[in-house]
Amino acid sequence: MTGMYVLLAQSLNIMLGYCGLLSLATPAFFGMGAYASTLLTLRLGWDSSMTLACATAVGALSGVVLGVPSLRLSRHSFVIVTLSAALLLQIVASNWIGLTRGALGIADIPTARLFGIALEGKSAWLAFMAVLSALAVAATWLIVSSRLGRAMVAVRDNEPLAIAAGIDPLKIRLFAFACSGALAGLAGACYAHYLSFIDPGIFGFSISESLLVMVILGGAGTLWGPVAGAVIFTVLPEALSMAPEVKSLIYGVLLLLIVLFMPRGMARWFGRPLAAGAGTGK
Amino acid sequence: MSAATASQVLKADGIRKAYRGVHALDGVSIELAAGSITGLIGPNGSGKSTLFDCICGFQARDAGSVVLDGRDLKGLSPQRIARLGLRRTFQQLRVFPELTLRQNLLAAAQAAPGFSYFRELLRTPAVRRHEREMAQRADAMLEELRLERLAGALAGGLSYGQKKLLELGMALMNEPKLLLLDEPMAGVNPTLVEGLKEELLRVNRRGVALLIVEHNLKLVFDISHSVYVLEQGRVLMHGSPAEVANDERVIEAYLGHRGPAATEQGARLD
Repeated sequence: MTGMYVLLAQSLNIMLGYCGLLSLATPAFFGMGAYASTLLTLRLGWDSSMTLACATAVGALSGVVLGVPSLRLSRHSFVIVTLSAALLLQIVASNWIGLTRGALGIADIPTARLFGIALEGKSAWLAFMAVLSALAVAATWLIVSSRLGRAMVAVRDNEPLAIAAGIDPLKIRLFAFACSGALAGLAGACYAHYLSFIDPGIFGFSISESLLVMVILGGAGTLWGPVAGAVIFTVLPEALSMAPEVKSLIYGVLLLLIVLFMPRGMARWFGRPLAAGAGTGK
Repeated sequence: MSAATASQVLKADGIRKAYRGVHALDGVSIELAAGSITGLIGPNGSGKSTLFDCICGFQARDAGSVVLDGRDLKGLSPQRIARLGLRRTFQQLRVFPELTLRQNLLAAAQAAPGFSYFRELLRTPAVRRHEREMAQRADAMLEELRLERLAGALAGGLSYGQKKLLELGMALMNEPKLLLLDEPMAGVNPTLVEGLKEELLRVNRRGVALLIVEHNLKLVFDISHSVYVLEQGRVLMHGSPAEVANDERVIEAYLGHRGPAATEQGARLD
């Protein structure tokens, strides 16, 4: 679960941290990835290497499809549209019973089987997710330290100047949104095979809430902040064996406090954050 | 490209722009010679900044055409126009505050030909080579602007004058053909005006044509080869700095809108 949240946190971090856009669409991509991988496995019997790749692609594609109209809007409208997209998909998943079995959910999803080797037991999953998280962090680093990451921050910092410098804000944000979607889609597929059960609830807002706490408290716009946030906020509630309702309440209050008193997150305590384009920045 | 357009970097013809029926620009035509410095003056609200926006594509024109170096800019996005070599600065100073100075310059030089998302991510040798070249150019630029000590500092922490220099450097990173400067001297400490003026002249000597909107008329008349005067969305006159400085209508236009102080400035220039 921790590894899955690392993927999701980076998915949100690319949008919120580097593009300065609050995207509540991460659960939408997450759910799309989960259903895509599940259905491909159950209906077509594909190997998980294929279904995970497809879930990633479906996430990226969803990002593009949702991004083309929504990224033209103002920042505030964008938040609303991304939230609506997740809720809309939840309604679709609940009602398209022929495909998703609706609110009953899909149970007995087989565990991931990569090139014929099944991931059995917690330790196998732990190792697999550790590798996947490392890859996700590496991918995020590749993105944010490149010219593209620099363009994202440029557009975030001052859009008219970025345009005057020849950067296309829509294209760069669309690219970021697709990356965000890909990471969340992959996370969704892992979730489905790990828990072996999914229902339309995975499109819900509670994931966004947890992610916001992780990313903002960890340090949005930094590479390691969200990773730390994801680890802390998956391990901690389990260690304290909190009830979901209590957790949700605490996260809500926490989020308010963070935004009010430490908007730059924990990363501030550890010297200067790794800025975008650091590869050439020195 | 014909000989006529080759010596001409920009030709704007019959530009019109109205806001809710009020004509901000009422058929403005200007021509800029390649490598020249042109002043654009006029009272507040005469349409100077609107003209800038309409030329660069930041605002849509109601009518009129803009040709950059023989190429019609009709329907092109502002970022596309910027990539074609027409750069601008803003009246309100703009830098990327959370990038370092070096990154600011690199971000300003983003739009390279053959840009591909995959190649960027995979860091192909061509991409690395390009980044190295750009980093060298950025370092040379920082040295030229005497900001090299601050290369790794965040731009948000610079003084106003330093930001002005950085902004100019950013506009020059991709060697534009034409640079539109919107009040480059506004808010600059009088002691720094001379230095910034030298900088502009040096830029021009490298072959960059300049179009300057500026309220410091002494400076405009000092460095421009020709001057356009805008009033109420129209070109009031166009001529050499000396002609413009001594023209009755110009003096009157400034008298009417800006008071005696400005007239003094405008009228006593040689």
